[in-house]
Amino acid sequence: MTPNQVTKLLIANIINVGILRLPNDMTSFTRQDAWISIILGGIYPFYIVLAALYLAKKHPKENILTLSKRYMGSILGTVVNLMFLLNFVFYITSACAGIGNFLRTYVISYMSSFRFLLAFVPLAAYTAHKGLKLLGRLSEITFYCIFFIGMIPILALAKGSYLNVMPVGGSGLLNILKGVRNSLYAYSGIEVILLIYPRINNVYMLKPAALKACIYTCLGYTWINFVTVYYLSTNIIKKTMWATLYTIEALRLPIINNFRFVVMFLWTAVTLISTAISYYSFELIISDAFKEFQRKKIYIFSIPLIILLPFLYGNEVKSRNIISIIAPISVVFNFIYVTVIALFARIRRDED
Amino acid sequence: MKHLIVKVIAILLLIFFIGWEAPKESLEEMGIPSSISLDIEKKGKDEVTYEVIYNAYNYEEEKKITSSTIVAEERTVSQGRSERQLKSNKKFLIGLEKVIVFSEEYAQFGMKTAINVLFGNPSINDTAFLIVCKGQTRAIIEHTIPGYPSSADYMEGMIREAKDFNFFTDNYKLIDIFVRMDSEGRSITLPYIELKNENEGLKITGIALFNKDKMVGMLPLKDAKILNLLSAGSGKGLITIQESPNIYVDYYAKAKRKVSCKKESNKYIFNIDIDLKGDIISNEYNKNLQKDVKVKEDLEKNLAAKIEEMCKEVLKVMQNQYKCDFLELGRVAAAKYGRDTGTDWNEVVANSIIKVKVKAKIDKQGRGDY
Repeated sequence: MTPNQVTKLLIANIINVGILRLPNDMTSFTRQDAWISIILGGIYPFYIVLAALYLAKKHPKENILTLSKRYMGSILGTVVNLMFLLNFVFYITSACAGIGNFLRTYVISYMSSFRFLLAFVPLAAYTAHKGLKLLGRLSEITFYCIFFIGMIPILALAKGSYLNVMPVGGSGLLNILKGVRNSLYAYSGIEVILLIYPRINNVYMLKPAALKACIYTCLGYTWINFVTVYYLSTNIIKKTMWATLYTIEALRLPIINNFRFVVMFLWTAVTLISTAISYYSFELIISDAFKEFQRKKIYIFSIPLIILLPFLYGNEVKSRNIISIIAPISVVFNFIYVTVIALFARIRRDED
Repeated sequence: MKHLIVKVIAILLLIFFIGWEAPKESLEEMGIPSSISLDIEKKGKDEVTYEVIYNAYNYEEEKKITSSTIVAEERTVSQGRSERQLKSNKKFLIGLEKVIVFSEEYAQFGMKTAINVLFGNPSINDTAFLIVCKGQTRAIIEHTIPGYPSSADYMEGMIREAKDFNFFTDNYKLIDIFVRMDSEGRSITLPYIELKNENEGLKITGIALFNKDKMVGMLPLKDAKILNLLSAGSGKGLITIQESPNIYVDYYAKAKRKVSCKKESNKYIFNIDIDLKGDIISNEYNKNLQKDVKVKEDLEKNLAAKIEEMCKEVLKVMQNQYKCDFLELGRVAAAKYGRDTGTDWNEVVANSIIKVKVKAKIDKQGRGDY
C-alpha cells in the first residue's frame, strides 16, 4: 500500500455512519462548545498512532498480533488478540445497525431490517475478501466522497448564525472534559493501523501518513460539529436523530429537487467501505489465531453471524444505548492493550 | 467469462431482492398534496377535534391539473391519516406540499402538536411555507383561483414574493420554524392571510405573533411592516413620509440590522442599529433634491428621524402590550451572557431598555424628477 492509501484507509475506517449523529452525541454535555471537546478528544487517535509508530520502528515486519503472542505467550496472546477482535465485531455490527436504521427511516421504509442486512453484509464481506490493496484504492475514492459531502455545509454558514455557538467556553470546563470522554468513541476505528503497518511499502512514510489521517479526521469532525451547532443551535440538535443531515440539506439544487438521496447513496457507500475495512481486520485476526482456516471460509461462515448480531442492537434508540455501554469498554481495552504491548517492546528490546 | 455471468446474475438478483417491496404506483395513482392544513374545534373543556385538510392534485387528461380537498376530523393530528384514507381513493405521497396553513384558533391553541408530527416525518418538505389564516382554514383551501390548480399554489407565490415590499422576511419556511420554536431567545412571526370575500380574494393582512408555539396576537400591516423592518433578515420595503396630500416622499429601501447588548446593574440595554439603503421612488417634497446635496442630506436625516419614531411606537406595543421578544433580542444576550441559565428572555426584553438608531442613505434617485 502507498502511504496515501494508508491515510485514506484510516480516515475511511474512522468516519462512517456515526458522523451523522456526532453532534447529537456531543452536544448533550458540552452544548455549544462540543467542537472544543472534539479537538481535545483527538488525543486518542494520536496515542494509538504514536504507539503504532513506535512498534513499527522496533518491529517493522510484524504486526501487533504477532508481537502480543511473542511477549505474552501463544495462549494468553491469542486470548488477548481475540478480545481485540471483539472490537472489530463491534465496529462492523454497530455500523450495520446504524446505517440500517438510518436508511430505513429516510429511504427504504418498505424494507425489513433483515432484508437490508442480507444485501449489505455479503457485499462488505466480498469487498474485504478482495484484499487490502483494493480497500486502499476504494478508500481513496471514499475520501473524495467524504470531502465532497463535508464541504456542502459551507452553504449552511449563510443561513445559520454565529450567535448559536456563542459564548465560547460558556458550558464550563468540567462539561467540556466530560464531552471529551464522549468524543473518544467517535475516533474508534484508528486501531486498524496496528494490524496493517507491516504492509506499507515505505516504512519511512508511515509517520506522516498516519499523522495526516489523525489530523484530517479531527478537523473533519470539528468542522461538522461546529457547523451543525452553527446552523441548528443546540436546542434543536437535541430533538433530532441525525442532526448532521440538516446541514447537508441546506444545499438546494434546481434540478435535483431532493439532494438528500444523493448524499444517502454516497454515505451508504462510505459506510460500506468502512465496514469492509473492519471486516478485513476481523478476518486478519481470526486467520492469525487459527492458521488452519482458509480466508474464504472465514468470510462465508462469519456472514450469518454478522447479519444476526445487528438485530441485537434493535431500533436506533436502543442501539445508541448499547453502543454507549460498549464503546467505553472498547476504548479502555484498546488503550491498555496498546500500552502493554508497547511497554513490552521497550523492555524486551534485546531479543532481536 | 463464466465468472462474469455469475457476477451479473448475482447483482441482478440482489437488485430484484432489494426492490421487491418498493412502491410501484404511477403518478396518476398517487395523491400528491399541495397543502396540509389544520383547523381545530374546541368541544368542551378538555376535548378538541382537529380538522386536518388535505388538498391533493388530480392529474387529468391533456395535462390539466385540478385539486380536491379531503377533510378529516380526528382527536390527534396524525389520526387524520386514517380518516383521510377512508375518504380517498389514492395513496398519499408527501414531500411536495407548497404551504401549510393553520387557522388562527389552532395557532392560539399552540401549534406544537402539528410541528411535532411534521418534524418526525422524514419525507416532509422542509421548505413549505407556514401561514396563519383568519377564520376557517377550509374556506381558504377550497377557495378557487382561476388558472391555478389550488389556492395553495397561489399562496406559495404570495409568501415567496412578499419580501419585496413591506420588509417581510424569508423565514416562514418549515425548517425556519423548526430551528426557532424551542431555541433559546428566539421567536416566530408568520404571515397572516385573510379571505374577506370571494370577489376580493386572498390578502396578507398582517403578521401573526408567537410566543414559543402559541399565537399571542396579530399585528396589522402598518405596524407589521415596522416590526419586520426591526427583525433580522428583513427584505425590502416602501416607506412614505407624508406631510400633506401634495407633499410627500416615497423611499424604497433595504434594511440591515445590527444588535448589541449591554448589562447594567441587572438591567439589559439593547441597541438596535438599522442601516437603510435605498432609492427615492417619488419625490413631491423638495424639487431641489436632485441638485442640492444639502437637501439630500436633510432628507436623509428627516427620514431616519421619522422611521426611528415609528420603530419606537412598535417597540412600545411589543414591550407593554405583548411583553414578548419578537425581535430575537434574547438570542443576542444569550450569546453574550451565557445560555441555558433558565432566564426568561421574554420577561427580560419586556423590562429592558431598547434603543433604536436608524441611518437612512439615499442611493439611486431614478432617471429624473418630473
